[in-house]
Amino acid sequence: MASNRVAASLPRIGVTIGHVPQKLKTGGIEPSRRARLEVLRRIVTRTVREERVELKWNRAVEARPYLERLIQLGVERGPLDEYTSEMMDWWLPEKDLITKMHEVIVPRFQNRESPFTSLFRLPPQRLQQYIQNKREVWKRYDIGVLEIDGNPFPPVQAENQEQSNSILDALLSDALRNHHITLQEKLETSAK
Amino acid sequence: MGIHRRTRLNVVDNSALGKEADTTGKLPYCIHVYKQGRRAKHMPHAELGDKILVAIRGQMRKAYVVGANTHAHYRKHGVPVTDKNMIVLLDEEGNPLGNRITAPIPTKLMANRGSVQFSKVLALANKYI
Amino acid sequence: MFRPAAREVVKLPTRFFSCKSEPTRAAPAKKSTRKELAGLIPAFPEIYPDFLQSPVWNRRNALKEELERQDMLERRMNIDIPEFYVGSIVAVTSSDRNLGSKEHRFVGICIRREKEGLLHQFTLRNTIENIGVEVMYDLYNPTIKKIETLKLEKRLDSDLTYLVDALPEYSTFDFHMEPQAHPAGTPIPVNEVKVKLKNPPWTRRWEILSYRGIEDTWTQATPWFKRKLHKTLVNDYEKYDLIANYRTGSTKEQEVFVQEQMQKFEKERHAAGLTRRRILKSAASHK
Repeated sequence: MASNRVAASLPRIGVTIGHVPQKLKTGGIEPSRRARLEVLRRIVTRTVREERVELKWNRAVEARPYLERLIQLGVERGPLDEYTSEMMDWWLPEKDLITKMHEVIVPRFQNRESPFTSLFRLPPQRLQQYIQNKREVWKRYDIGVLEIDGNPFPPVQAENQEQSNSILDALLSDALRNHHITLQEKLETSAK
Repeated sequence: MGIHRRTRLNVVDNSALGKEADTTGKLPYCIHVYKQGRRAKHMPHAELGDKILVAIRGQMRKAYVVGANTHAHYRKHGVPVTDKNMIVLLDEEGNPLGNRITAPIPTKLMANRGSVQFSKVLALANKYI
Repeated sequence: MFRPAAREVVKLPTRFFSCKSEPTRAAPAKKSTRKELAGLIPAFPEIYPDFLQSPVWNRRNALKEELERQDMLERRMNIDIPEFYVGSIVAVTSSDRNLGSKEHRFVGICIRREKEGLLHQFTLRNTIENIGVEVMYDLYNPTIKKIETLKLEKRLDSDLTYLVDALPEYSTFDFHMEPQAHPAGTPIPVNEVKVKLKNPPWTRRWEILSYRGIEDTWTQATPWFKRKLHKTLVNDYEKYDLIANYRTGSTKEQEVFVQEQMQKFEKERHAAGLTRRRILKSAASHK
C-alpha cells in the first residue's frame, strides 16, 4: 500500500459477497482482470441509467456489491470527497450519471443503510445457439433482475393479495390482524 | 537475499587481504557454507555466526558471517539486519586475519562465545548494535 | 377481544424478502452511529493496526481473533505501548541475555508495520557507522521492556521500505535523541520530506511503484528498466476494484465492536483498582 489512508472506514455491505472474485466470460480479452472490471463497469453504468436491468444471473450477483459500494461512497462521504469522485469518474464514464448519482440516487438513501439494491431471479431462458448438421444446439441462461431500490417502476414481485373469499380464510386473517394490533398496543404501552 | 553460493560479501576487519579486495572493488563471494542442511545435497543459507568459504583475490579463505542481510520474511525478533553482508576472514589455522573489526556487530553473535574459534573473533569487536 | 373488520383501511403487514421498490421503505433506516461514536477513535486502523482483521478474507476467524485480542489487551495492561506510525521515531528497550547489562536499546525510524493480531511486527531503521541497520520487533514479544515514541509524525507513505535505497542521511538518527512531546488534541504532523535515492541498482523498481515520498525516481532509473516499462504489467486499474479493497480492508462495524470491547476491558480493570493505564487513546483526539 503506497499511500496513506486518510478517511475513516466504511460500513459493511449488506449483500452476499463471496471470498473470491468470480470469473466472468469476457471473450478472451487480456488482461482478463481488466476485462472483468470493464464488464462490471458497463453493468453498473447501465443500472444507474436504467435503474432496473436484466442480466445473466452470475453477472448480476457479481456487479451488485460494486453498485452497493458506489452508492455507499456517495451516502457516507459525499461528492466532495477525493476518493469518491475518483471512483465515480471511473465507474460512471458518462458524466450525466455522476450528477444523477449525487442528486437522485444518493438522497434516496440518506441516513439509511445497505442494501440499496435488490436482485431477483427470473425463470431461466433457453436460446438457440446454432444448428450443426441439422442438430439444434440450445443453451440455458439463468437470468436475474438487478434494480436500485426506490425506483419509479412497479414492483417486480407483487404483494400478497387476499384472493380467497372462503369464510375460514376471512376469519383467520381477521384473527391474525387483531393479534397484530394488540401486540402493537402492548409494545406502545410498554414503551411509554 | 541470504548468503549462498556467489553472494557478494564485505570484509569488515582490517586485514590487508580484505582491504585490497575493498579498494580494487572485487568483492569476495561465498562458495560454500559449513553447515548441515535440512536436505541432503542442498546447501543451506548462511546466517549470523556461520562459517563459510569465500573466494577472495584468487584465494579460498574461510570466514565468519558477522552481519547478514535477511529477507523481511525470514527476520527474527530483535536480531539486527545490516544492509550489507559482513564477514571476518580467517587464516589457515582458523584464527582471524585482522586484529580489529571496523563495523558494529549484532549482540546475537555473543551467544556463540562458547566456541573457541568464534570467541577470538568476538574479542576483536569494539562495538555492538 | 373482537374488533370489527376494517379490511379496506388497515392493511395486513406482508412479508418482503428482497423487494423494496417504494422509496419510503427503500432501505432499512440507519442505526444511530453518531451516538455510538462518542468515545471512539476515527483513525483506529492507523493507530491500532494489530487489532484489525486479516487482509486474507478466508483466514478471518472470529474465535481466533477474540482469543488473540484478550491476550493483546492483557499484555497492554503490563506494558505501555504508545501510539506510533510509520515514519515516527521510536526507541525500543528489550532485554538481551547476551549483554552484560541485560538491556538493549535501539532507536530508529519505523519503516513498516505488518501482520495482525499477536504476530504484529514493526521494523526500525537507523544508520550506525555508515551501515544501515534494520531491526524487526514483534510488538507483543515479552522480551520488550519499553517502547518510547521520540517523535510522533507520519510520512507521505505507509511503507518506508525505500529508505534502504535512499541516501544514508535520511535514515540516520541520534541514539541520545530527546523525546519531543506531542501537544494533545492536535492532529499528527505529516513530514512531507521527499527522499533522494542512491544510484541504481535498487532493491525494487521504485520508478513504477507510486510512492509519494521519493523524489523523481524516473530520471535516476536505469535505461534498461525504462525500456522494459512497456512490457511491465502495469495494473493501476486494480485500485478501482472496490470489492477487492472491501475484501482486504476493515469495516466500521468491526472497528466499533473492537473499540467497545477495549473500553469495556479498561473499565473493568479500572474498577478492580489494579491499574490506571489507558489502552484506547489517541494523541489527535481531545480526551
